[in-house]
Amino acid sequence: MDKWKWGSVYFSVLGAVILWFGCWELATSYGLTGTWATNWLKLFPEAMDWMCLWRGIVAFLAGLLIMWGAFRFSDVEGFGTSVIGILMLWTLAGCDILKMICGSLSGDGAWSYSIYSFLESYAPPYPAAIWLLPFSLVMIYFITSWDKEEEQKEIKVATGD
Amino acid sequence: MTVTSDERWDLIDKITDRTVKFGKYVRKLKDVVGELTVRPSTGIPLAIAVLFGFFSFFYTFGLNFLMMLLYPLFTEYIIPWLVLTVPGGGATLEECGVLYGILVGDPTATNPFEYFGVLTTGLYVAIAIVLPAVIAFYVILTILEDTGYMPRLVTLIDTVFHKIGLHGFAVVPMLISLGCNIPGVEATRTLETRKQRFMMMALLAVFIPCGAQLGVMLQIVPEYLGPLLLYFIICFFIAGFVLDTFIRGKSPEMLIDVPPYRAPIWRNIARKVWYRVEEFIGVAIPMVLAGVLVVNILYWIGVIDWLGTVLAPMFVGYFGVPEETAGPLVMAFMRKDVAIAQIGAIQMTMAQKIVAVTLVTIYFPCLATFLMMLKEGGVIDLLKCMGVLIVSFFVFGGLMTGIVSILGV
Repeated sequence: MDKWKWGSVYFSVLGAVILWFGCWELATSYGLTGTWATNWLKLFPEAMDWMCLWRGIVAFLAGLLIMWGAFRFSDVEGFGTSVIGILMLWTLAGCDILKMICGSLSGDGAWSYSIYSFLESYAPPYPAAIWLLPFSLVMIYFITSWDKEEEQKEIKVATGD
Repeated sequence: MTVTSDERWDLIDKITDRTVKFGKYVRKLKDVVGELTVRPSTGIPLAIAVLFGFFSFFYTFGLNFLMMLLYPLFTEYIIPWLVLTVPGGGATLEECGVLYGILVGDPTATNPFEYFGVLTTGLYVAIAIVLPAVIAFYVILTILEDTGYMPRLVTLIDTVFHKIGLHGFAVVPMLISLGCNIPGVEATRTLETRKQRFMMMALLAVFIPCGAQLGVMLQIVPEYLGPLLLYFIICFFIAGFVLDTFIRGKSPEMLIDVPPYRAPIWRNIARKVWYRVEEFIGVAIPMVLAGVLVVNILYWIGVIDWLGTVLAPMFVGYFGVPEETAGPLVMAFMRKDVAIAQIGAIQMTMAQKIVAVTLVTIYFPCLATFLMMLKEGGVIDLLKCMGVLIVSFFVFGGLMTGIVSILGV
């Protein structure tokens, strides 16, 4: 199998997982997953902020787009669709990471900091997007590969090979 | 020397031959992503994610970070120092001098919102609430503009806005107004016809909460901010549809050049944000302080109490909120954010808070926006806007009262 077929399989699975977590967050926004979150080794927060429903919708749609694009991954439009889905996931994860950084520095309304409370801000549980972020970074490899292959195609056309 | 049209075209051709190089167009991944961004099936999900990022950044960086950093500055240093330093203080507000009451306010207050003094609540709201919200808002708006996403959002949303007689460009004043209504009204100049400009001004003034309002709304009714924004958007489109039906005028099609995506240049972003924030500081901070001063004077001479008594039947009977809400509504004409902050200090049920926040949002725009509307639209359009506003106040404010009572909030 060439790398684009591997990519197709990988992002189909990743898309399905993100889609599932989107459903999870939608359920969390209605307070349905409190017990599950606790049972799952405290990986995920039991309850989230007022944007949880919105976050769930974004994750759901991101999963859908990644999966949809992965089915025709070697085609430029399919690949582009997956890239958009991954960008949506990165938006979610970026917002979560920013929230952790700001939370660790803001001092909760007081200018008293301790190393423990600073580091504690970065400890789990994390929202699903952060757990999924490392798996989604594989897309960087495919984006650079795509650009390189396009460049090589251009050179071939220019040299008339 | 006169040059004929043919000679001019010949000259253009010669210059073009020498200066322009034509290559073969290769559709790159960046172009494909750009095209997919304006296609509804992929563009709408991305727009939902981008707007999530927009508000998440606004909430996290502006409210949870900058605001939290500034909070101790006021609660631990500035306000305690003012309470002790300004002459004429006492144990309670009744024992204080008039100057102390106006500048510092109630010495028994337990949080910065409850003082109502020009230098306490006024400065706190202006610097610790409004400014962080506005900075965060303009940072993210400028990034979206400079990456090239905004024209795509305009294109994507065009169909929706056409249903109410506007076009995609209407999203620009709408988003800018979420930071501050004043430049939002100014941005209505991008719309072609008088009908479109009037409609947009009226809808902005009534239904779009500014960054400062959003910040304070998050403090008062954080768990209901999402549903409240959704309510305002629905009202925006309902009112837009009604206005489009009754107002004569043209709603032309839109032509827009969509640039390629580009990495933003951070120096340009910093400069643009600074210009916008500088303009805001120049107008808004004096207005907040003047607003608190006027309300304090009105309070001391008894006008607020009188207004409360006069307007009580309407507020209590029709909207179901306490009569003390009259004061913040007068204040809302000066600065809506301060009015919402004052509402936070009134003892109310959650349902009453939601209705009160809705009323202040739909109520008259702040004085500065009011003056900008006068400048941009003239007296006639301003009077028409006020008509829209009064009708909307009773219709959509009453509707919210009904909704919260039906849902049992």
